[in-house]
Formats: sequence, structure tokens, C-alpha cells
Amino acid sequence: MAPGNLYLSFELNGNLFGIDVLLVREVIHDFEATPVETATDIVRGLINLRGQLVTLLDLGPRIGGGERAPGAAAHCVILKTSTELAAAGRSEFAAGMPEETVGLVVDGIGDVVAPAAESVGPAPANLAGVNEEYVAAVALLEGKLMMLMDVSRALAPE
Amino acid sequence: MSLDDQELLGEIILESKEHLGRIEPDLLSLEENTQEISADLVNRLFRTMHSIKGGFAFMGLHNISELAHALENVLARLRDGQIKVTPGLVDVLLAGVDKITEMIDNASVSESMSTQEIKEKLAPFAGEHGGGGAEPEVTAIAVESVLEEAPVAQPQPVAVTPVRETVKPPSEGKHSQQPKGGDAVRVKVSTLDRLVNLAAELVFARNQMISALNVKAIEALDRARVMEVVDAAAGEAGRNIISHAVRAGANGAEGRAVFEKAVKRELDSLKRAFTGAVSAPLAETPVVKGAARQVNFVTTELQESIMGTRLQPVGTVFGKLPRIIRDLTRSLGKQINIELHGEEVELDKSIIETLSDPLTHIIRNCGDHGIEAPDVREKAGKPAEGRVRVAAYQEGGQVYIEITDDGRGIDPAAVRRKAVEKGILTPERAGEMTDAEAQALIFAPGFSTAQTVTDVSGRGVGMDVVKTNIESLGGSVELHSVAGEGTRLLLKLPLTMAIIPALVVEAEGRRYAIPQASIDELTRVRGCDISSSIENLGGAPVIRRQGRLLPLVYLAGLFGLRKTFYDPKAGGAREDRRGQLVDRRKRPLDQQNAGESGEDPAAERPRGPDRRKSLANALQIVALKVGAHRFGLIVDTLLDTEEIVVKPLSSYLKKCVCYSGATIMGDGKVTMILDPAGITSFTKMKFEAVDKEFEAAQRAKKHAQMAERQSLLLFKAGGQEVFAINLDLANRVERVSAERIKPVGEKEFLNYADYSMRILRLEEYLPVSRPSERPERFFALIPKLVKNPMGIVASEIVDIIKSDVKIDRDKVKGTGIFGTGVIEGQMVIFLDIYGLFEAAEPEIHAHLAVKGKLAGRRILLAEDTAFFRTVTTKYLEEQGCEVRAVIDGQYAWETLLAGEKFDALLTDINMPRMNGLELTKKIRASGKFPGLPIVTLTSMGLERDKKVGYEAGVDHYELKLDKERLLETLRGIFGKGK
Repeated sequence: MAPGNLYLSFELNGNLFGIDVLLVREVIHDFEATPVETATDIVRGLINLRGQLVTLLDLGPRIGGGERAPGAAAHCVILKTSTELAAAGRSEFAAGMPEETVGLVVDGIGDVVAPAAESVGPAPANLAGVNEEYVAAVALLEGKLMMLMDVSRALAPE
Repeated sequence: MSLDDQELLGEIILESKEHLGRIEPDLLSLEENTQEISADLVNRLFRTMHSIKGGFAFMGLHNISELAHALENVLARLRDGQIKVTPGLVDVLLAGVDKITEMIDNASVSESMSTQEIKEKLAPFAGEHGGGGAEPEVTAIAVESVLEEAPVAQPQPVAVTPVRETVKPPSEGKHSQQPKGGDAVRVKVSTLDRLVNLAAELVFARNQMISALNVKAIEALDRARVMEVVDAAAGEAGRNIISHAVRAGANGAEGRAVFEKAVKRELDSLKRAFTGAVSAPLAETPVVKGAARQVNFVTTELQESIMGTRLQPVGTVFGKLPRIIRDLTRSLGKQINIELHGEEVELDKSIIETLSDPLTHIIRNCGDHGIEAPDVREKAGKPAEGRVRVAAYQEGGQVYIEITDDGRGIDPAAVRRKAVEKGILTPERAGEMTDAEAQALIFAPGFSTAQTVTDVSGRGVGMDVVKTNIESLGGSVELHSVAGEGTRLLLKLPLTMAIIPALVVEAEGRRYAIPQASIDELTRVRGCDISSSIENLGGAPVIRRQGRLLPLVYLAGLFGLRKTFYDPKAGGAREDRRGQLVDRRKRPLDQQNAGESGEDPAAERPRGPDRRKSLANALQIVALKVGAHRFGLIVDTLLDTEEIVVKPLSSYLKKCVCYSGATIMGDGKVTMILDPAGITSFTKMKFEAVDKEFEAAQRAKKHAQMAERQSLLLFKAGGQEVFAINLDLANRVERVSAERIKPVGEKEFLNYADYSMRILRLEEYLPVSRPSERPERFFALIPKLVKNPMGIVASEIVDIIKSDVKIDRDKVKGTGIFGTGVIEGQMVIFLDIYGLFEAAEPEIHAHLAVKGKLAGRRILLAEDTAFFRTVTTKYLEEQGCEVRAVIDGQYAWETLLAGEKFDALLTDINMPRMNGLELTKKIRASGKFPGLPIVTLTSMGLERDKKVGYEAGVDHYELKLDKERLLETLRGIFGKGK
């Protein structure tokens, strides 16, 4: 979580989160997921992404925080697989990332931001109901708190 | 070791194993033809060892390299003619190859493995070179050899030489067909997998494009109509503009602005009409059409060739088999010849891999259990040498592998005995099985027919594992065996597992794919038949199909989806609140629900037919196979059959046992693939109850077939009604003309030479229609087992049939009538001869109706034939007895054990599960029911049987349906007691 990295910001359950852009393969906005009955609550469903099967995960229930805004438009951040990261020479990110392609369902996509090094700090104890287990650090961004997600932890299968 | 080294080692291992795989058949063919040793063959063996030696020496794995060297030395001497091929030599070489294979498989620890023993065995053959270490120049050669001759990457593994190819001398020519090293490259399986997936996606994209183009093309065909539309639009626009112009002219400057706007609007709509018209025919241009055709063609080709890269010849697994047979012949002292056919037939790599173990096991079984020892064979008139034949061939979309042997076959009796000993079967069940069913028991878990566990096939892996493995591939196993003659196993396998045919179904608007291979049958139950077809077993719905019970699962319910049904009245779906399929209505719809649909609840709720039973609410049942079990999945709609590309499930869905994967459908949407085995475990489906019930039903059926189905005499008495009496009760039927009838008072008598018999007209005693006139000629039915026989008048004998019809005692009641039954769609009235005669001669029977002695007695009646059970119960109940009727000896025994007290037991002799004599013996032996009178009822009155009966502990022996004697006997019993 080196400062100076670029983060993709997004909204989830009324909070602002960020993940390292290196982990992001692409962002999609228009998708129809096939629900998978009997799956755990973080699985939103499966989509066909240009012929590839992608599992959509909704980290909302796991991460906690506020209520999801009703009728919030769903966006999806497709992440790189550990293999892709390793191939791109980013083995330090590869550990803990899934080997399959997954997408994170989020409520809104923000900008790609570069928080100043001095604005990044450890997660405080109280994070508005967010489960701090999944927050690696926080950054102040124009007066707003952005939680930098510990993606490999948040994605760990149960 | 660096990463690069690791990779290189991996390469060397892979390549060495390819070589080693080829060595074994080579060595075996060497042995086959000791006279004429092929120099080429020996050279190839030598080179193989040489390159293994070099490769591993290069990687620093000297233990392997040294052993290879030792083998190389022996092979060199063989090549140079210094030693001869002997079975002993081949044994040692094979052992060496085994050892080296083992070491290569465990390359990382190979340095610590001992090769001493094998080297010592090799030493005598190696002459002066002994079992020594690697020569100094080894490393140098090694590098060279790795570079030069090693990487013979072969997507088409080597064809395997049969151990005995009768005509041709082995080897020559066979291997020369292999591609040379330079023609091939090594491709990772994962790369192939990815290519396969991409090809599948391309197929899908192609399909989408073609269907889109087809739509456009259809539109384009109607070009004339399009032009018409444009023409009309232009004409209308022109007219409108003119009329606007006219109005604008009248309104001056203001009108002009309006006019401009109007013109713009007209032009816009004209433009739209044109765009629509011209874009459509795009697809029709020759270039687009040609390109589409080309894409279509290339895609199909591409997909086929990529799928082809995953195909491997079955020869890769067949190649191992001769060695197994060879080892068996040597260790068991048998003579076996193995023939291989169709090694070139190709199967998907993953299938080939899974096939290896089952096939090995089958071949071991053939050699170990199947083929007899030479002397045994000769005694049986067979050639001393046994024959095992393995053949592969392709037919349709499937590959068949047939394994035949001419051994002892499977003895159904031995299998039955073993299965009973092992507790897999009850003796009864074993006895009922057909021979083929009994033979199939070798697939039952925990079964092995070997008399002693040998080190050959007694490895805890049974034929059940073989069957499971083959089925997991989407294949099946068929067994055909004739005791004394041999066994034939037929494995059916799909060509590939990547693309499978599947049935697409819908439940509550969601689609699911079901692999065709697991579908047993499709059934539709009409809405109006649901309540009669669906039964309830232990709280779960079941349906009877071909005599077996099928547990049912609602697909939508399984996933907690809201169940809806189509309401024909309201014309829409509404929630189904029934707890169970068989329920009629769980409760009336509540106000809120009714309010929603805007209906008056009071008006429609309590009346009208059950809307769930309307036509639109038929049940679609997909019967699925899970091993030997079946269950029915209820879906809303059957959509289509499609070839689907199976994609593995995400690791986030590992716990979703109901699916075996997912697929992308033609329309681009993702659909889950259902896994029947997973569904049964998810629902914790219990097959035991169903199986038990099924077995009981089978038994009952079997019993009903062989046992006393009652013979019935059907006749008419002048009216429309058809009457039936049990043929056992009829003494004879006589043709009678009316003039022989003489009335005496109210009664009529039939005159014989020396006596007369009373004649009885049914319509006078029973509530039945009267004949319009009395016939001139008729029949007299004369019953037996009655003290004073009378002839019953029959106008017509309809038929004599055998039937197990159920008697309904409630529909038509009256003295002289047992009840009614339906035979071949016709209602039949069963006569109660005794009742009838009592009614006809009340004065004679009056004294017999001394109920006193029997009243209040509790009698246990065991009788499997429904008719006799009903009749006997009726007789006893008329006498004031309390009767507990059960359907066989086992039930009777259980009823007694349950502690119910009875004053007497009446039992039939021939019954399923436990017969009357067994029951008697059990009762007497237990000593728990001292003094319980046992009366057997039988239709056969042979003295011999009686003797057996009395020996078993029977007190009285009575003929069935001889009411008076039976009652007399019972009175005697109870009279004595008090």
C-alpha cells in the first residue's frame, strides 16, 4: 500500500473505497448476472464477459458499513487474476488474489486518484460500521475519507 | 535449483516418461520373437536409455543416470549379439524400467533411493562392465543427446504393438509412421484448454452473428415493401409541405417560421424512413454474405481441429495392458494371449487419463478371475491358452471399448451366495434376481468374487470403482457373461467432455441446463391427474413410474424460489401456497392476495375447480439417474436441447453442490448446469424408503403373478348385471331347459332321475334388475362346499378369468353380495353364496347362527389374496369375531410380537415373505404364545401337506371358503377352551 500509487475509487454501502489500479482489469456498467442459488451471500452471480465466465462478488455484506442506497446503479470492477498479475511482473500483488476472474459489484465508480503520501494512514478504530479487517489503510481525499481495501483479504473464500 | 532448471527438469521428466512408455511394449515384443531380433528395435531401446542417462546426468540426478547407464550397457551387449534374449533377461530389463520409472516419478528424492538390488540383477547380463557408475564422458554426451534427439514432442503418442500380432513380425514399420522430431512442438495442456475455450466462444459469436444476419436478410428480402414505405413517406412529406406552404403564404412572416419548422420535421421523418430502408439490405451485399459464410466455415474447422488437439489415441492406455497380462501369466502360471484392436481410436485427453485405472483393473480381473489355469481349461475342452481381447471403436458420438475373455465367466449362483454372505442382499432378494441381475452384483460396492484375495486384484479396488469412474466420465458399463464361456464388458464413453448435449429447462423464469447423459426420461403429469398420480411417502412426494417410486423434487422449491401456478381465471401466475403437491388446497387464499388480483374473494374462493389442476398447471418431470437411483425433478418448462460448453465452477461456488458447472447459452446468458448427484445430497434424499417400497412392490408383483390369483366365473342372470363367483366355489355348471323346472310352493326345483335340487333366481333375493322374460334354456350354477346345494340360474356365462381384482364392499350392499369390483372396465357383483343360501333357506340356517361361542373372539388372519381375506373376514365378523387381517406371515409375526392378544390364528399357507408353515414353526419355537390355536386355510387338501402342517405345529387344517366347516372348527376350539 505504498503511497503514490494510483487508486480506483468506488462507492460501496455509502462509503468511499479505493483499490490499487494495478489490480483492476476493467470496469463494466451494463451487465446481467445469472444468480446462483445456494451460493454464499457475497456471490451476486455469474456473467458472460466476452465469452469468459466471471463471478461477480458483492462485498457489501462482508464489508458492512451503511445501507446500500436503494436503486443504486450497479457497476462492476473486474479484477486481474493472480496469473495475470504475475505475468505482468506484479507478483507482490499476485499472492492472495484469486486465480479466476472475479468482478466486484459496487454502487458507484469514482475517479482514479493519487492520494498524497502524508494523507495516507492506518485505519482508525471506528470506521462507520465498516469491518476494518478488510481495510488496509485510509487516505484523506479532498476532505473525504477513502478506505483502501485489503483486496486479497476481502476476496478470501469462506 | 533455479526456475529455469526446474522447467528443464520438468521437460526431461516428461520426455523420459514418453520414452519409457514405449520401452515396455518394445521389450515385450523382443521376447515374442527371440529368434529374429530386430536391430532397429534394440537400437531404439538403447537410444532411449542413452538419452535418459544423459538428461538426468545433466540435471545432476546421478542415481537415475547410473541405473540408465547399467541398462544401456546390457542393451548394448544385446545389440552386439553378446547376449541372447531370454525371459530372464526381459524380466530384469522390465524390472529396471520399473525402477527407473519410479525414480523419475519421484525425481526430487531419487538420489536417496536404492538401486543396489536391481543393479546386482543386471550385472550378470552386463558382462565385464558390471553394475558400475557412469562413465566420464556421460555429461558431454548427455547435453548433445538432449539437444539432438530428445525432444521428440508427440501430440500423437505412439501406437502400441500388440504382444502377439500373429502374422507380422513385431515393430518394423509401425514406429516409422511417427512424426520426426522437427514436425512437432510441445504445447502445454493449459494452452490447449484455453484454445478449446476460445474456439467455443468463437462458435458462439459466430452463431450470434449468423442469426443476426439472417434476421437482416429476411428483412432485406422484403425490399420492395421497404421501397413502398419510403415512397409513401416521401409522397406524404411532399403533400404536407405543399399544404404548409399554402397556409404559410396566407399568414405572412409568422407563417413562414411555422413553415420552416414543418418542412424540417417532414424532412427528418423522410430521412428516418430512408435510413431504415437502406440499412436493412446491408447483409444482402455479396461481400458480407461471403465473409459470413467464410467465418462460419473457418470457425467450425477451427473448433474441430482445436478439439482434436485434445484427442489422444486409446493406444496410450492399451499399451500398458500387455505388460499386466504378462506379469499375471508369470505369477499365476496361466497362459494368456492378449489382443488389442483399434488403438488408433481417439478420445479426449481427460477421458483417457481417467480410463487408465478402470481398464487396468478390468484386465487384471480378466487374468486373475476370468481365465482359468491351463489344466482347468483343458478339462473344460478349451485351449490351454486363454484369450483376452480389447477392442476400441467409434460409433456415432461415442467410443466403445469392449473387453472380452474366454474364461470361466461369472457364475450367477456364486455371485448370489457371496452377496448374501457379505450382507449385500437378503436371501429372498437374491432368489428373486435374474441371472443377469445377479451377475451385475459384481458392481456392487464391497463385492469381490475371488475365492482368495490375491496380490493381483485384491487391492481393495472393486468393479464398483470401475463403474463409478466410467460413469463420472458420462459413460456406462454393460456386462454380459455366460458361466463357463466367458465375459464381455462394454464401456461406452463420450468423445469429449468439453461439449455435452444438455436439456435446457426453466423454473420460475430461470433457466438451467441438465446433461442429457443423466436424464432417464421425461414425464408430464396433467393438472387433473396430479392428485391421483403423486403419492406421499414419509412426507415426501413420489410418483410411480413403471412400477418404481420416483422421489420428486421441485426445482424452484429446491432453491427457495417462490412457487407460482398459473391461474386460468385471473390469467396470470400466482403464488402456490400448498405445502405439498398432493394437497388439494392448503387454505383459502387470504384476503390480501385475493385483493391484489382484484377479484371478489368470497365469490371465487370456495367454489370452482382447483385451479392448480387446470391444463396450464401440468407437471413436467425430468427423471434423473444417480447411479442406480432415480428421482424426478419438477420443472416448469422444457425449453430445448443444446450442445453446451461446460465451464468449471468458480472456487466461490464450491459449496453449491447442486451444480456441476456453468455454461454460456446461445443468447449470451450464463446458465447453471445441474448436477443430479449433488441435488440428491443437497436435499438429503433418502432412497432407502423408496427402494424398500420398490422391492416390496416387486415382490408383491412377483407373488401375485405366481400365486393364487383367483379364478372367477362371470355370468349374467337375465338382467344387465354381471355376477362373479370364485371358481373354487363352483361345483359344476349345467345346461337346463325350463321344462325340467318344477315349482313347489314358492320354490322351484330342478328334477334329476332320483332327486331334485332347488333352483334360485338371483333377482328374487338381490337388489338387481329383473329379466323381462324367463329364458327357455339357461344354466344352473351349482356351488360346492355347501351342505344343501342349490342351482343358481344364469342366462349367460360371460367368461372365466383370472384376476386379482379388489373387492369394494361399500358400493352395493345386501345379503348375498360381497361387494363389487371392476373387471376390464365393467362392474361385477361378487356373490356371497353362503349369504345367498341363508337368505333362501332361513329355516335351515337358523340353527347355525349360534353366535355365542365366537362372539368377541379376536382372530388374527394372515392371507395374501385380497379376495379370500375379504371373504373370510366377512364370515368371521358375521359371527361377531374381531378380525385383524394381515397380508403375509411376516406381518402376522410382527403383529404377534407387538403384543396384541389373539384367541386364534388363521393362516394361509402360500404367502410371500413368510409362509404359513414358517409362521407356525416360528410361533411354536418361540414359546411366547402357548396354546394359541393355529388353523391353516388352503385350497389344496392333500394328505401329505396336512402331515407337514401338523408337524409344524398346526392344530387344524381347513379348506378355503368352506365356511361351515371353518366355523365349526373354531367353535370346537373355543368350546374346548371354556
